[in-house]
Amino acid sequence: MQALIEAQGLNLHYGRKQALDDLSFAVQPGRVVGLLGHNGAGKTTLMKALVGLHAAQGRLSVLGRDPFHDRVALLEDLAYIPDVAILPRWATVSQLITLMSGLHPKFSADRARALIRRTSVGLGDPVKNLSKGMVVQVHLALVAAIDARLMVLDEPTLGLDVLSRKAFYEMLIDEWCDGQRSVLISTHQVEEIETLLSDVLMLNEGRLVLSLSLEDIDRRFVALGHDPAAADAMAAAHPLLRYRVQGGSAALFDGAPPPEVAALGQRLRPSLVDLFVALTRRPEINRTQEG
Amino acid sequence: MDRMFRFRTLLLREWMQHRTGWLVLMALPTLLVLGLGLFDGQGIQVGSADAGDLSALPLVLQALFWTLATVAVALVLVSLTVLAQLPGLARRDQQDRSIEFWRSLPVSHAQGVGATLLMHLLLLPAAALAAGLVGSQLVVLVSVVLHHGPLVWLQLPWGQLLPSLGLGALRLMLGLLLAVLWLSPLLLLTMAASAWLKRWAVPVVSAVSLVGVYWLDARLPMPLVGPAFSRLGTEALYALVAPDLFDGPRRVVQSELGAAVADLPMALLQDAGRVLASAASPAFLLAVVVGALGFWLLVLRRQRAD
Repeated sequence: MQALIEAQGLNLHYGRKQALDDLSFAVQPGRVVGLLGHNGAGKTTLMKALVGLHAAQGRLSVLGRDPFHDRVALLEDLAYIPDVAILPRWATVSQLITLMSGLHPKFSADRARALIRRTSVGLGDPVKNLSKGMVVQVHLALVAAIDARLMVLDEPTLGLDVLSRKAFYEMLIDEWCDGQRSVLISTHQVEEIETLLSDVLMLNEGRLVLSLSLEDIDRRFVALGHDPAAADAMAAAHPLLRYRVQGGSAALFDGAPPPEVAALGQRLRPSLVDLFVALTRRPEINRTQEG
Repeated sequence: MDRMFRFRTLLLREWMQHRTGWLVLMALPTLLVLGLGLFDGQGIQVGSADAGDLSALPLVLQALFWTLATVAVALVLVSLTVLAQLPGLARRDQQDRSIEFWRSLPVSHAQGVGATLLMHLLLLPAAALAAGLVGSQLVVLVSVVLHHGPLVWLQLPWGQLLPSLGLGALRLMLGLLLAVLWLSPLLLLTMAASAWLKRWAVPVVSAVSLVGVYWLDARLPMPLVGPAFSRLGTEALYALVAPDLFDGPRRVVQSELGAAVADLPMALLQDAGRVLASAASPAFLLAVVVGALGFWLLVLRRQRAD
């Protein structure tokens, strides 16, 4: 099966700053991929490169196209919500549907209206009168009405309260994900989307530090809960991360720990948050902890 | 979905966003001149003192006067509006933070910029002038009925007036197109400066222009910048207002009125030929090329909008 996104040796510079550093990954059809990383890790830059808004060096193919040189054609098959996407405040929801109908060849106005009716937003409501959560829901309804194979969402729930975030993800999963389409979603709220994801990409300072499916993460990474008495033995085995869990201590290992160490603890399922912290800690923090 | 359909939708977007202001802009000239016609029509002096009051002129000239007056007010108002909005227009979508939404749609950057420019520089002024032309006939109706009675309006030589009005409208549209193209270096480079330099644009453009006119020209073997500005402005004005077409109402009054009105369509055609001939020049080509550079800078700014 051909990958929807294929990146090989992807690099991107802002002047002398390297925003993306030799990224290689693929996104297969039917996957829900989380793109995780701290502020400034390169998530938005990568997403903009994927939709043709930034030119990157290296090989990049999205839906079989070169995004930068074939942006318009690519966006006909791709639904995209940028990180700072603000719907035009002067427009009503109905006007936005009219405009989308004229601008996007795979947009279904009927489906958009049906999706909007499932929210608390009216078709005649001006965007300027909507709350931030409502605006994001309208935006998702608009892009979910596009018959695309890939949806790219850049921090779509940033700044929303928990109810709005929940409503957003429910609409995304219920109305768009059908097992064939893929979603690439970047977010800081790692714990909220963990259950939705099938794969994870982790960026740290422009570098891809992890590109795995959730199943492979469970197989590769081992978390051990242990008593305080075993802390020194755990530390001696050089875990990726030592952290607190359910009132106790735990250590996260990349691969199986030595049997004598494994025998000192109980295996836990490593959470994505802990893995994220372990793999994307800033160098200065790592240095401090190593010291 | 073809590109034209998408482009039309982008034009529709401009209409949706600005329609309230535009409707006011289109109605205002007629209302202003209507007010003038209703309340002060008797007191309006036309031409030299011996030409007398407007209402004393032949009806056909009164009709032409009100038509020209309304269209002139429409032209002034729409020109001022466009010029005032132009610098802000370059950064409109960035300022209301919707730029990323527009860039997430399958529309080329050139189409996005082109639709905005076409609508604001050509279609809006054309619509305002057309509205002024149509509205002027309401002014003519009200003025004639008010000052001369309802039956007199029916006695106007419509067979002669209507072809003149139709050709006049076409001549206006041609003039508008040529004027915008003549002015495109100034308009589009100012917009590009606004897009790239933000609030520094107006000071920078003003400073560069002043340096060009007062410093650079003084050091060149022959002045270049000042005459270029002057040429652009003059050609644009001549393209629009056709100063040679009318030699004042006095001349028309003194000549055979019927012949003058009957000759108006031919005079309009000849004038259209004159402004087209002015456009067939290296200066016009250079103006269009520099305008295209401004357009390219605007597209580049939209492409790189962050």
